[in-house]
Amino acid sequence: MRANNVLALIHAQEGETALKELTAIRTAASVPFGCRYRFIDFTLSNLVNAGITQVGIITRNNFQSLSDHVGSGKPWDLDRKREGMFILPPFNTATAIVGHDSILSSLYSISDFLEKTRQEYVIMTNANTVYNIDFNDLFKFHSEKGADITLLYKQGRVPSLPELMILDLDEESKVQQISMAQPEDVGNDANYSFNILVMRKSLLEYLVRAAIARGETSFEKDVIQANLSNFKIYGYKATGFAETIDSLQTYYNVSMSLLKKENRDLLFNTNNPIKTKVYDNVPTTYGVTSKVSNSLLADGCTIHGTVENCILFRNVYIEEGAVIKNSIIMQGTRIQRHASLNYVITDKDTLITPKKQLSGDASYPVFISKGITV
Amino acid sequence: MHILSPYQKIEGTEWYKGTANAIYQNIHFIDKYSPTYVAILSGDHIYKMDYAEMLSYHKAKKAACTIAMLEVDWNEASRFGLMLCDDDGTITEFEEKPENPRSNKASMGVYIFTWEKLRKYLLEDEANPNSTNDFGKDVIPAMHKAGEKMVAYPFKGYWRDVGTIESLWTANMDLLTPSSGLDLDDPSWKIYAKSPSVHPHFVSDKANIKTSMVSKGCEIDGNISRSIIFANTTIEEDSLIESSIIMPGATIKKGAKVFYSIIGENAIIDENATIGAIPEKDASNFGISVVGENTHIAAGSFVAPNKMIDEEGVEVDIK
Repeated sequence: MRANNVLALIHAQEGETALKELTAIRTAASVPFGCRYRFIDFTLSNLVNAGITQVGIITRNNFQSLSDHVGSGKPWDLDRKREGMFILPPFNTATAIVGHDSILSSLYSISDFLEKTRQEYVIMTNANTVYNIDFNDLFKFHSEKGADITLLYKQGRVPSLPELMILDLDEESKVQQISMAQPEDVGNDANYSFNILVMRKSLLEYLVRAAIARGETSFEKDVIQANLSNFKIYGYKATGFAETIDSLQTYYNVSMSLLKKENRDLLFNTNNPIKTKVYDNVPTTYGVTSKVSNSLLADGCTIHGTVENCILFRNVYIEEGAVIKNSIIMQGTRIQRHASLNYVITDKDTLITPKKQLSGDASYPVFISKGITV
Repeated sequence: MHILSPYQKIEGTEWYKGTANAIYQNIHFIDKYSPTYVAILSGDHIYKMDYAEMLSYHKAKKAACTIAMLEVDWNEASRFGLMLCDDDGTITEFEEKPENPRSNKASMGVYIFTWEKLRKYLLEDEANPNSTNDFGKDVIPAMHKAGEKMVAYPFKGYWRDVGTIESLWTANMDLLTPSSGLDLDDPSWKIYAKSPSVHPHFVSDKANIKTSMVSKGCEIDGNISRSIIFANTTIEEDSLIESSIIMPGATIKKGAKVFYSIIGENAIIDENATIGAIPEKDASNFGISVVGENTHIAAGSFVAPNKMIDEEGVEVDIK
């Protein structure tokens, strides 16, 4: 199977209840990450780097910031005359009987889109995974195994997400058993599914129609788990950088892991580059009183204070005497004179006024919402 | 946008002989649009200007040619093409880099012409075998001599021609001096550019950066002051960069020192090499050092001030 013969679907909303602080004003797909990216950049880049030319982004609500970010798809070469990128909002057909309140119902409501696209295969992805992967390896695995469905999984700490599938695999990577993660499983080591999977498009259409006809609601339980004995389901193990963001704490930890060079080299692999919307920002300016160490900085920042173990997004302004440590400071935030921040995440456009002291903990960073003045 | 390269004619192909000849050879291109006015600009000037205002001025003055004018420091005036104007802004006389300037009104090399007029003088200029086919030297004086209405449009703000090594270096350093008036971070007047899609820059705990600008994709472990660091550069630990410009993709290895220099794209300055020097008080033969693109400077070697090294390792004097 060639990548060109695979239709990509991205569930832009998936996993966002787990990240409620950051998704109150945006989709999970458009959560800012790593100084200059949004979650969806990783998925979109992986898809186009593999050679996929047709991408449908399934949205539910709150997707203004997402459409603003992806635009016509130009940064990913998806602004094509033939095929390209499509945003698929809910209730888009006259006969829509279901919205996009679940993966299953949204797949059903985009039946027309699935039908009119020419690709034989479909890769279904989410927007809460930060990863760099060559999907061609996944496609090759799927063909070689003669699989009906291949699930991308990771061996690691089970994230706290609803309807998360835990896989039991045999030596041939064939899935023997699928169990839904229970609260007591969270944090344990297991093979868990990213909810990124490949199958024939006709099979997906058939399974979705059948599940809807039976009045079922869960894609994972009623489409995948229930069909384990009917189809050949395989697991493909993700290696390299692949992290599921299931909470603000995970968001913080995964962001901070980028301060290690080996992680940056994996995630920002130059052979499989992560593309994003480009802004025409000036480079970052360091003043004579600046003191920056072990930090990642986007363009357009102005630094006069002390920055240590931080992630700074675009256009952040750190005034003289301000001390920022172990923090993630999003776009447009200004931190005024002699303010002090430790273990803080600020959303976009916040203002920290002079001499304010904010401190969280490595295990519980303080979150400041978008546009707030402290 | 069209790029009009030379050597496009069916017969008698030739390079552009001068700035005016470059326009002459593209008369057919301009005629296709039958414009009323034409703006002629340079690609190696650093400035922010609203050309629409200059055009309104040109129209209001009913001029054949409007030249953007900057009042420069009298001490520096002799380095420029100067204009003498009457109270109305009409140019009465031109002086090209005079030893004893009578004016400090310098031409910025930014022109708006009424196309009908310019076309006529370009044809005449081409027919003149003694002409060097240059705007400043030939076409503008010819128009003036013929009595065309020529006006100076007063411009205020930052402007610099970066056609020399020294001016290129100075303009970059101006970015670090707010009082220079050069502000690229103006949301109402953004400067657009092709921007590489690379990760943010990383500053390690060994790095020390003061009064500098750093672009995306860099990995910084060294010491940097008063310098401009372009995208995708690697600055290793214990290196020292002072008052320099490091262009995209360059690598400054461990212990290397770079003073008052321009390091070209993808150049490698190997361990403990030294490029340039810090100028002493009376340094008559001091100058910026330049390492050309893709050039490898061997470990421990030295490039003197005022020298330029290219990819083949050939060293030349700059001044």
